[in-house]
Amino acid sequence: MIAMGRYVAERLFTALLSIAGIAIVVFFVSRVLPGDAAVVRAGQYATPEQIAQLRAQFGVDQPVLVQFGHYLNGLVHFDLGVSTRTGRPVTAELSGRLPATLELSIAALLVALIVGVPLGALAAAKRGTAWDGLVRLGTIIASSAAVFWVGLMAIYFLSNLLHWFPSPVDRLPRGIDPPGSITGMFTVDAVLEGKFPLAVTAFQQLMLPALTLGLITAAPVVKIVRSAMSTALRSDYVRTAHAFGLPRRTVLVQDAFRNSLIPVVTSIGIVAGYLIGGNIIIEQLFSWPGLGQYAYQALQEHDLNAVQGFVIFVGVGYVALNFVLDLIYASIDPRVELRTAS
Amino acid sequence: MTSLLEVRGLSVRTRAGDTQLLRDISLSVEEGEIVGLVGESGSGKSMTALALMGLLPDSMELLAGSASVAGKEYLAAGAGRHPDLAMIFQNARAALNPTMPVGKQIARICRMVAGARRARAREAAVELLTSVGIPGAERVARSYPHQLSGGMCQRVMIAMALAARPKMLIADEPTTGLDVTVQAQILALLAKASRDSGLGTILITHDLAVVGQVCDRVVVMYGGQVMETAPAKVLFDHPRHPYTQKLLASLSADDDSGDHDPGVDFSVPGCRFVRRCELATAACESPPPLVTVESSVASCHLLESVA
Amino acid sequence: MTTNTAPITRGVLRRSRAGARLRGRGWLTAGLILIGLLVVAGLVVPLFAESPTIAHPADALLGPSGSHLFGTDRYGRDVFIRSVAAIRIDLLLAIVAAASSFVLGSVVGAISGFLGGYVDEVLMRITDIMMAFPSFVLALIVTASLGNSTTHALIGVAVAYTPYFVRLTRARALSVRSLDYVAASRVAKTGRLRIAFTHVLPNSIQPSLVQATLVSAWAILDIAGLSFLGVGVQPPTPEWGAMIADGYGDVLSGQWWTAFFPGLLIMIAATGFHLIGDAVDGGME
Repeated sequence: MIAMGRYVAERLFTALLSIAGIAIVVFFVSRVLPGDAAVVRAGQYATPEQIAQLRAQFGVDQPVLVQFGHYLNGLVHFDLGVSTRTGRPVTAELSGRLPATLELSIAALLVALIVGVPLGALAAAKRGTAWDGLVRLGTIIASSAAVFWVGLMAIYFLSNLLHWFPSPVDRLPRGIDPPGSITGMFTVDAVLEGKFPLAVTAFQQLMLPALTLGLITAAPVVKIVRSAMSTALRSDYVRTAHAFGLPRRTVLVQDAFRNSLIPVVTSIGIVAGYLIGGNIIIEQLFSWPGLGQYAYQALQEHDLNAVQGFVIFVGVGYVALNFVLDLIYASIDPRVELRTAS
Repeated sequence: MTSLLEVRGLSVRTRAGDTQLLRDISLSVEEGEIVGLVGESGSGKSMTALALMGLLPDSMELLAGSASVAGKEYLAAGAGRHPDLAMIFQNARAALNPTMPVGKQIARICRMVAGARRARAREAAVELLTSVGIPGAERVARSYPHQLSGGMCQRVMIAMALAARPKMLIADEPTTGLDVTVQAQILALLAKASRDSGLGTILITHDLAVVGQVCDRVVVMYGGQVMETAPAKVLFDHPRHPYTQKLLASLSADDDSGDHDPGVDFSVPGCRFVRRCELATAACESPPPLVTVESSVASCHLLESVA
Repeated sequence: MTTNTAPITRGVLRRSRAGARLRGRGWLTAGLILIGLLVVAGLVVPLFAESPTIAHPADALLGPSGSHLFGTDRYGRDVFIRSVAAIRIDLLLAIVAAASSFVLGSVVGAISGFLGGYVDEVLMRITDIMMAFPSFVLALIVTASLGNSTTHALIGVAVAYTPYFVRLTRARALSVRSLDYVAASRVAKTGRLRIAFTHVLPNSIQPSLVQATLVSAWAILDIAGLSFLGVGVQPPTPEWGAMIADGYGDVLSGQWWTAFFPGLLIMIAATGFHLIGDAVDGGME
């Protein structure tokens, strides 16, 4: 248990170090990039005085190091500044939109895992056969499809034409009130409050974007599972299990598959990257009011603080995710304790 | 009266078809007998074992041969595994499932291979661990392989093998990488198993000292061919085949550097030792005959005149 | 002693290599054919067709037919002609972006691995931080910050994939640096840099080329994605992502072909690069 505590402390330290690095780089890179929020905000016909006034208001007229000091001070207090576009604190805006993105990402991840894990395992178990070839070809085609194209076609064919899914208007159709905010995820909150019809409505609204994003994200999942399972199938312990006459199915499940889950868990970080990248487009396409949509609007209007805040959110989210994955890894792999002790 | 294990004319080649890795391997093991299978690396010892287990890698295929356990033919019928055969490997820690407690690994064999009920299987696992000389078997049963020493893991693997209740056990370098005292204990354990339950054992090793400790008979292999088969004592005192003589000489000379193996030439039609044999004649380019000299059987042209 | 595991490992390796080579050849051919067809169509068809930007309001939103294979868009422009004309732009942008990150990443990686010390430390931290962001997000941030344009989209995508090549080449550089003749020569920094460029870069070209093929596939998707969001190639230039954005409203009202065919071509192009990359990658496993 002491080894475990040390392990957690070590990982936590590394994570904090990465976050500090991200914060520093983000600040300096964003100062180097051109694009002046004050000019954009003031509009085409603004006088130099108006622009100067806005610059003073945004604090971008001060020396870079002073700005950096303000920035760091803010970060420590979870203050990412004020959006030049809406005038509201960026932290509040991002936090308000986080649940929508989380709900969509988690649903998409579930779809990706439900589709990807069995297919990857199948391809590995039948490595070299037509099944394997078919799965790999399907993976290549899926990872070659543009997510916005798949989404648009899904909206037209499945929603508009066949009416299998509701129109992609928002997280809930117009005129329906959201549930109270417990987690901020509508489907979960509605269930927690016992409003099952509302949960169904929210779920229907969630389904199509989650399926689109999930199916595209299944491609990297298949790849990861296939490679991990192939390695496990080649291992000494799988050979041993066969040598003792255990049924093939048992060996596949208890030896090969279970052990291949360990590298799969650690690779979820890669999958999360696909989810975040896809989110920006999917949220735009399905009018989903999440972080991706916010970031896109902020970028279009050179809302420096908002963009900076989004980037830090993503960076911190990525680091936090990897930290959590490390902990999961440690708890499912009995060998981790030994590795840190030595 | 047939032997417990009878192997006749086993040949294996690469699926690409170009190399015949095993040629015409024949051997037999009696009930309760320990037969050493010796040779340098690349001699085909392990390949022979994998072929008998039906565990050949996909790049290789069985070309010819038959094998039977207790009179029951199985190999020719489709390279399946015989239920009365089990095999243990070297580097036992890597050969055990890293994410399953060892007791559970033994118990599932009791259950799925030997047909025990779930509760009984758990007891049996602990009993088996005790029988292979593991103190505190209850606690060890809950451990994962990485928490146990290499020797302990090998004991666990032997317990797993016994859990399958085989008539024949193939042990592939079971003591390699273990220190000498543990080595002796593992060998004693294997000897006990064959003495107590009539288990026939093939012990694969490159270490002739191991052979001397426990084997009743020895099969010497080189380049995928059987060179000589003889009772262990006879082999050490009167090696017949030039290769066996060289093998024993290199052991006593305690000099590994002098004779560098140029690698086996799998394309020669005759004796595969011909390139390294100092006594080779033109006749050696054709397949060697089996020559019986007293209790030894060697596969060599040069011995024809002796016999 | 690994005598006993050796035959198995060797066997499996040999098998997967043979399998990969077999499959690799078929996939490589398929990939080359797909890309080849696109290139030929992109080069030849525009020679015989009218300009892809001329509007024919009378022919707006016609469905696919003999005279308009892929139908027409809301300005009456032929979707087939525009989709095929876009091949030039999309393939060129993707390949130039991949090649740029290839060159930039290789140079930075070689320098980082060969100089070591603080230079390496700083460069690797920056690379790590860049890799904490999904490539598309990185490309989008860079492009939008620089201002919406084709060139900036190109830069954005190139920057986003540079870290991959930095890591690849750096790993190679480290292994070359440990070689005896380099270590023994105890050369000065300038000499080491010369070795970095004469030994490391040529050495790491093969794996980097595989990576570049895969990056080309991703770059196709990213360029189109940026243009779809309006920060990349601007209309009326025929570009797949921009065309899909253009047809967005029409698709929802039933004219699916305005966006379907450009997206199909994106998929064909990306599949082509993926097949080539996967085949070459598998062959070298």
